[in-house]
Amino acid sequence: MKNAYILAILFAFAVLSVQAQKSNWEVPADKAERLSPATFTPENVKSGETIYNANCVSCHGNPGQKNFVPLNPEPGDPADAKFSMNLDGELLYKIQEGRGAMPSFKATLSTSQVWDVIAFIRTFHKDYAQEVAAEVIRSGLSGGKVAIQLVYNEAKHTIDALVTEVKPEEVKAISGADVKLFAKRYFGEAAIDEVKATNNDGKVSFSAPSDLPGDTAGNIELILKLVDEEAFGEVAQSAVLPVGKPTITHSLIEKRAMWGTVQKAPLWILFMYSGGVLAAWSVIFFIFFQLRQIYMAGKKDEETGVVREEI
Amino acid sequence: MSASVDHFSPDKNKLNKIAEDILKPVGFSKSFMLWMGFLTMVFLICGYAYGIQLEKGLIVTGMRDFVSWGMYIANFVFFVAVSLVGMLISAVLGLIGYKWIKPIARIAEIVAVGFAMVAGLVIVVDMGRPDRVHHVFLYGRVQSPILWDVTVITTYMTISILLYFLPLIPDLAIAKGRMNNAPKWLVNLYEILSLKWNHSSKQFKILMKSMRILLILVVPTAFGIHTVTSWLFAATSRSGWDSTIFGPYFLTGAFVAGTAAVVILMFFYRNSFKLEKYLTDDHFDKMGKLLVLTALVYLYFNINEYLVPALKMKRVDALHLHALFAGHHAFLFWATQLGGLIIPMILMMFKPFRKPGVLTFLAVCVLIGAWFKRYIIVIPTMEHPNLPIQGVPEAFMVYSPTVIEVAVTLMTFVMSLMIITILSKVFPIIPIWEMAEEASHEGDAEASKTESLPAE
Ligand code: HEC
Repeated sequence: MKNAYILAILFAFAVLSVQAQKSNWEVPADKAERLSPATFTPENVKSGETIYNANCVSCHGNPGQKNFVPLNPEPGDPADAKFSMNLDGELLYKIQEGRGAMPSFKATLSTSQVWDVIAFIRTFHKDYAQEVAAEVIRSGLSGGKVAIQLVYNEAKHTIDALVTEVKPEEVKAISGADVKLFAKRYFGEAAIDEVKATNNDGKVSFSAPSDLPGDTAGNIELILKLVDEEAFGEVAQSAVLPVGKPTITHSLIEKRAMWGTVQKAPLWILFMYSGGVLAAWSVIFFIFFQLRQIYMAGKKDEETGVVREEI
Repeated sequence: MSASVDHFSPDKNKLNKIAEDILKPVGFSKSFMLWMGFLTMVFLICGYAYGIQLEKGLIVTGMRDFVSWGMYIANFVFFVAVSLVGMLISAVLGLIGYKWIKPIARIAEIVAVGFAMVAGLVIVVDMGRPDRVHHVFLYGRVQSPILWDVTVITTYMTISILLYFLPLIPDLAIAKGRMNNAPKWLVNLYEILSLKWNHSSKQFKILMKSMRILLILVVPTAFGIHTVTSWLFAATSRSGWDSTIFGPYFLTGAFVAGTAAVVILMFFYRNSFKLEKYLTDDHFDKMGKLLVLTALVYLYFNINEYLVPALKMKRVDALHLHALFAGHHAFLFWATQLGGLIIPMILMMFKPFRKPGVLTFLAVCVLIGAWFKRYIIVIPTMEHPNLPIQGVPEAFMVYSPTVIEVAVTLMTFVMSLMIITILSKVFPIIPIWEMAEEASHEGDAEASKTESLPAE
């Protein structure tokens, strides 16, 4: 995995080297000032370490050991000033957006996961003291919770969503909110269709892909996310819908094959082997029979009293 | 084996003389007892080592995750290789009609029987759970060269025993009347095994026919046994084994090793059994030439086997070849190639080096070289897997056999030697009836000419 990464990077690097040369990574002011909504806890750090080891170690190495991959520009060691000089918001932005060989983790990690990684990285920065966002603005909601329904419209081959705000006393459609649809794959999530806004009824419709492989029944896990996290917080809803093509795999040991058990051996080899054994051993048994013949001939001579010249 | 005898009427005096010469060493002499006692002692000591392996498992060997085939498998290939000489001498040369092989043929069959019988055991020794050896048959897959190997070795061993036994029958009949001071059990054994042989032309006819069938059958079987052994390696894509010529490469190598083994045994019989009259300088000269021929062919395959990959130097091959040519295994590699093949071969091209003593010395070099050659084929490849070895203890990367492994390997040799020793003391080592027949026709040009015609 690490090797493949490095190769891919070296290639990408060759292509991107010119534009990556500029080492000042400017972050828009409003983004740079963003703060984590909550104080980093040991749980955040722990989860951040796991995420770091799964996604970042291959390039950045182990923090503090300076064993990052030598690229230009350098990925850098997260324990170094290169990282610690960043504001929290700058780190968040850089990790989410990426640049050159530094991949964008927007689609792979949720914002809170990225905050966890930042919490982990910050444990290596001695002079760091966390500032927490005063309050998260939830202007999109009026005190309720977001609810999302996902359904598959087979006739139109679309995936339809209904986004509502649920309050104890009423259910209100959320209109004009940007939403994005993803399909869960083995590695990360694949975006489906484009970002769309809900209509006045809180409804939005995505055209379903026709060739996405699903499980044996064609089921795919879909995830709908609200794009504006500032307004709604991190909202995502997943549902398993039969929008994909059924994937029917054939077992490699279903038919007769060289790698099968002896019951599933190819016929030709069964014939060759047993034919060979049979041929050789029937000759051998024939010889045993001949030995018997020799004995019988001698015995008969003995009985009939044929006396041979003594040798 | 002359296949044209259907009527046996040797010159009486000559037969008596020959039978006396050849039967003299038969029986359990003092030196035999000493030698067998020595072998038994070594066997017990080595057997103790095997006992330790049985109890503790294969961890007592030098084999680990990467080198999982070590000295045992190299030794197995060697045993199979040596046993092939029975086929080369009796069948290939015999069917062509060479007569000089007559006194040697039985020696070659003894080597074949002695080594083929133990070859199967050598594999069992390499098993971590020998108590499950029957699983090879219970769960064997006809798709696997391992099952083919087991099958073909058993078949070859049976045919070799028959090829040894059939020409022995008339000798046993001749001998049983002449073994005046032999122990009773030996006479009884001869009586049973001679199958009421009375030299009738009917019996000769059956015997000759059976021999001819067996000699033909043994050729594909022998080719099969060693080709399949080579496929155990060549059917994998590892550098050093991934070769299309492994079958013939192993086969020709086997002829070199086997011929050398026969020369050594001939020398021993000639001196200890006082058989100079039957195993003459001329026989050694011819065997020397045979050894040169087999060595030349084998050298040719060696050049192909090493030079072609060396010209390409594919990445994985390069590691392997470097280890052989100039690295960890270089000494062994060049010692076997030069000292065990090329130099003896060149020397044997000159007549003085085909004299019995010198030739035997060279044959010993060749045989030792042949053993180490198998080591060179098996182990270095195992040390260079296609994916690099990482993060394992040093002992996993480089294989070195342990004392126990060496002792157990020695045990297999002792077993072979025991079989060979017993066979050569219980039964006559040279076919009496064939020698007598030959001698009777000497001077009778007419008769010997018809004799030398190929079988009808
Ligand atoms: C494929 C290799 C690669 C992976 C994987 C990777 N990075 Fe990077 N990262 C880089 C490179 C190269 C740079 C330097 C980019 C530049 O300066 O243009 C970088 C830069 C950064 C920076 C900015 C440092 C600065 O200059 O201020 C941060 C923060 C960062 N990475 C965090 C992460 C985190 C967190 C992860 C895992 C979630 C991660 N990276 C995974 C290659 C990688």
